[in-house]
Amino acid sequence: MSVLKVTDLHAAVDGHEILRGVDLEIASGEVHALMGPNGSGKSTLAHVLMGRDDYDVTAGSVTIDGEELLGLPTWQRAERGLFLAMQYPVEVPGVRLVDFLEAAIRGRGGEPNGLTVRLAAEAERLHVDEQFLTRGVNVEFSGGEQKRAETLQLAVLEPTFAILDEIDSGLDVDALRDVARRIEAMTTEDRLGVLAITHYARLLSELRADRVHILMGGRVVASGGPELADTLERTGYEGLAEDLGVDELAVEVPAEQEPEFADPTEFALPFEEPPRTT
Amino acid sequence: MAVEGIDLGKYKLGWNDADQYVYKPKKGVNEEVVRDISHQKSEPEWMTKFRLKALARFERKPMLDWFAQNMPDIDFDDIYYYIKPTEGGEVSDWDMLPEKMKETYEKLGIPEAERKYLSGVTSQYECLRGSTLVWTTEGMRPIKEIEPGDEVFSLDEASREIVRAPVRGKAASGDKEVFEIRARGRVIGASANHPFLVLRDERKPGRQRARFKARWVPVEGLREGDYVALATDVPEYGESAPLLLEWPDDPGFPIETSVDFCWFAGVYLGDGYIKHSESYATLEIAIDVSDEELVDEIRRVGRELFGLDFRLAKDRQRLTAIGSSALAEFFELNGLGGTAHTKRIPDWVSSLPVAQRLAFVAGYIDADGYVRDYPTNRDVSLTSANSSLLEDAKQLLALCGISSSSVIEFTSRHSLDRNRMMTGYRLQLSGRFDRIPCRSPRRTNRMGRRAFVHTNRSAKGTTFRSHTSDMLGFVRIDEIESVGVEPTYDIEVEGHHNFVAEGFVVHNSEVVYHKNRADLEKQGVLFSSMDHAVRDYPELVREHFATVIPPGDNKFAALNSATWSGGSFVYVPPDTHVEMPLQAYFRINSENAGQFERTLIIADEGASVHYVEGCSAPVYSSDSLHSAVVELIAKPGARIRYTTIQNWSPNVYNLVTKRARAETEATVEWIDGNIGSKLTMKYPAVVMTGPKAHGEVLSVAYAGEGMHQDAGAKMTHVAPETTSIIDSKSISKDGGRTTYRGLVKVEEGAHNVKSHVRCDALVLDEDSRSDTYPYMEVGEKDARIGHEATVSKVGEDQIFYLMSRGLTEQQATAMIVNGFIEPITKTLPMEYAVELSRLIELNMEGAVG
Repeated sequence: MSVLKVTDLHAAVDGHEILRGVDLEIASGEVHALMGPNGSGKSTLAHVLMGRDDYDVTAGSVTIDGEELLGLPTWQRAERGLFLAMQYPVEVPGVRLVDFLEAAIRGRGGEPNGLTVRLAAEAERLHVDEQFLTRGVNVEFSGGEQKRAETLQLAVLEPTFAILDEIDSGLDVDALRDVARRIEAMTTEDRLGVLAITHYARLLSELRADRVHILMGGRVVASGGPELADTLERTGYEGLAEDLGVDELAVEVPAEQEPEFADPTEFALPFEEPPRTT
Repeated sequence: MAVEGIDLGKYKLGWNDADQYVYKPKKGVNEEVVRDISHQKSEPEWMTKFRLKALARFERKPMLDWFAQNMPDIDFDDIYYYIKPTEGGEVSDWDMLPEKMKETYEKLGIPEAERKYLSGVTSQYECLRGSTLVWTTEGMRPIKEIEPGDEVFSLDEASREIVRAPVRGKAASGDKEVFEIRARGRVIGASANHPFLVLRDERKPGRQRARFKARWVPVEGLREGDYVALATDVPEYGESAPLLLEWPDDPGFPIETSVDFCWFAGVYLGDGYIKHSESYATLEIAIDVSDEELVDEIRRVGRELFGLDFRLAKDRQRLTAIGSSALAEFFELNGLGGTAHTKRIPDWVSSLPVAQRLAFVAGYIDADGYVRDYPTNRDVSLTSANSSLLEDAKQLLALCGISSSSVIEFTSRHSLDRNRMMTGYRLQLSGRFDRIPCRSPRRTNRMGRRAFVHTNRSAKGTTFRSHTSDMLGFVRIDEIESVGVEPTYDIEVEGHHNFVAEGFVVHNSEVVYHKNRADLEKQGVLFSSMDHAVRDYPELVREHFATVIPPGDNKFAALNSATWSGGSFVYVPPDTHVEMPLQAYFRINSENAGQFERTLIIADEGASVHYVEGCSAPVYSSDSLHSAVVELIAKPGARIRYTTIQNWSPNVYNLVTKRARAETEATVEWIDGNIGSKLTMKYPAVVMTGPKAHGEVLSVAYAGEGMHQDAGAKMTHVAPETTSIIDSKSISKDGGRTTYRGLVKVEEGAHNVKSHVRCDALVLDEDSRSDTYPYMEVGEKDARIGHEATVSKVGEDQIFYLMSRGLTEQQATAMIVNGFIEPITKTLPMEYAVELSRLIELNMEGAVG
């Protein structure tokens, strides 16, 4: 039995505070849904928990079983049992999922014995075509394939806690069901603790949540049982904000600037004409 | 993998080994020096003249601005142009390699077996996946569990008999891409370079009759439809095994195995079980009691061996004996216990003499087998709910010279309850099962009337009987498929250098190289140092030398032409295919071909060859200029692939002129890895002079701190319908700079030309730089030329993604870089792909750490 505990977490980008004191406590085997409107800080929370260094953590703590994770590099957080299924999984051309996972398992101090067999079994369970295992990671995957592949990685790496960042985006009904079932099985069989970040209540019709939290303006403004999601479904975020007396739904962040590229200067060819041969 | 205790600190800086030379001419280049070089090498007069002419060109040619700008500190008068090496002759044995060179490999952290390969004195790794079952005199064992001293089976190629051979060594050969080869129900997983013995139809065009030749062909050279060698039988081995007894002083039961005992044990395995009651156990056998002969035989053996009187139970469905409790214990003690789902064939059965093994099989078939009775099919099959038991049986049968199908799963309705579905497994025997001494007439009658025996000694429409024997057969390959990377192993066998695994005859380590050499000679391929070639093959050399790159081509080609020494000469006769890549490592090193080597490769009409030049080996030089000339001539229909991986130390200017002539329908591919040097300027070129010729350049460049890789390609389309591809990948890091500079030129009259250029650059940090300068000169309007260029910064997104799965930043970067160059590395022989990746990783670490 493990506990992931987030206490009074504050984080900023370029001096703009996005998380303004988030508290959460998730135990093994529990599914917590974190819902919020666009710009409420949901994805920031996911990235800050995993240790992305674009964000400055200004206050608070994140622990697994009392051990502080803040300050650890990302890979050490992974080693401590944290997993992030990303909203937009990144393409890594030329790196096969099999090799990637093998390196990841070794990185966590494990031995990738029987990995091929396990992957094949998980692929079948998640309806991932086996050809995706030997292609470049996420390269030319559709949205649904990406999310199935994220879930497959989750199943193979067996973390203690998984953060699912908008795992339901880009999924059709069948894919959503496959993914949700697999995750649910992990929560019961392997006691996986889950923080499912989502915009829509749709995910929760497939993945049963023990607790639902509402994030607005960088704070958890309401927590409750699954019925909270139903309420939200009826009222919408604005309606709920009104009911709760919250005025700030999203956090303002200035847009990033496009980087500039210099024009390359051209040189003449440093070699001469080839001879006319034959 | 890595050798312990390597000081990578030194490696970072490159290294200089103390020079040991017998003769050193003066520094600088002038007529006297050039004459001296030619004299030292006892060259014919034409070569001396050629050198002197080239010297004149060198002196006349101005230093181009570009070179001058980039090489401010080059001083042509401060260079030794020729140094006569101390080590003479060509090395053919690892132990003969100079110590200095061995040390170099040590520094690179290359394991010994691989070093041997790099030095060219032995074959590459050949490997099988860890679970591969090797046929041994102790039964079948996974290759990873084989130990030196174990006895395996090996093919004596002269007599075509399978013989016993001791294992001399075993090696874990690391993680390799594994290919599964399937042939008639047999599957084996091997690396791309693992040779198999195959039969190939090598009839001359137009001939009616197939002419089969037996050859060792690596997996990558195998084709579906080739016939691959199988061991169909093994020589007699094995001894009766002692049996374990509860009360050794008062046996009452046999103390060692016998034919009768084995038969009884086989029957028991098929239909017997132990029934445990509260106070005692009974051994019972549930057979078809209407088979009277079988019942009588079981009773006879039971009486004679165990002193027990087996009788029909009241329900008339089983045999049992009063007092069989001790026998039950005895069976359990000897590994024959278990239930229908957990029973296995005990290990000791595999090591018995063949008569006892066959008796065991016979008993099992008498109990549980079924012989079909169709006119065309009187095969024996075994059915069980226990697939492991059938796998055991399959292995045991193979060691009795009897082949069988893979274990097939099937489902059927339960015979008593139609609503229940059962899953069962079936093993289909084929081949020589008439040698199984079954005792039930119901089995033997049908088996005896079988029309055909499959021994894999012939195939429909072909005759290759002469290549087979009672122990050696060939079957057609059904499928070859890559199944991903797995840990792999290899063993080395004394004597015949092959062994039997999963039924296939496969090669073991060592000797492939020596065999190659002999093969090359037989094929009429000439492969020697350029210096020797000038003396040994004067006409061939004189006809082709400097016809692709004349001495006046550029200042550095002129310098090379005047002062060259070392390099390789290769001539491949018409229609000759050199299967294994020719390695340049060993000879270049032992000849100590300095900085001005000269290589000439000629593939005559319809010939093909892959030449690999590796420079990851020593940097003997303290000099700062390396300027080689490489000329390739692909005559009509020929194919040449030239692979280079250079890793010069960071004080070297590497200016190499490489050009190929591709005549009608010929193909030339340059594969170029530039990992080291201070400045490399290298633009491999293909001049396509005949219609439908094809040129290709695949290159990878890595530039770290203080390095500049200015590389690219040049494609000149002289003839119509010629095609070319340029694929360039560069990586820059820590202020390193990469440049792609390329030219595609379509001459007037060259109609319907197609060319595609693709350059991808990966820039790992803000300080590093990458530029792309593609040039096109197109003289015909119908040319189709494509160009794509991408520059990507290794995204923080990518690194974060990989790190979130548990990789460190360094591992993540290395993985991204390796993925980036994967399109190139996959075209390399395995060892070079590994080498290239490792060199880049080492370089990156060096800069990071």
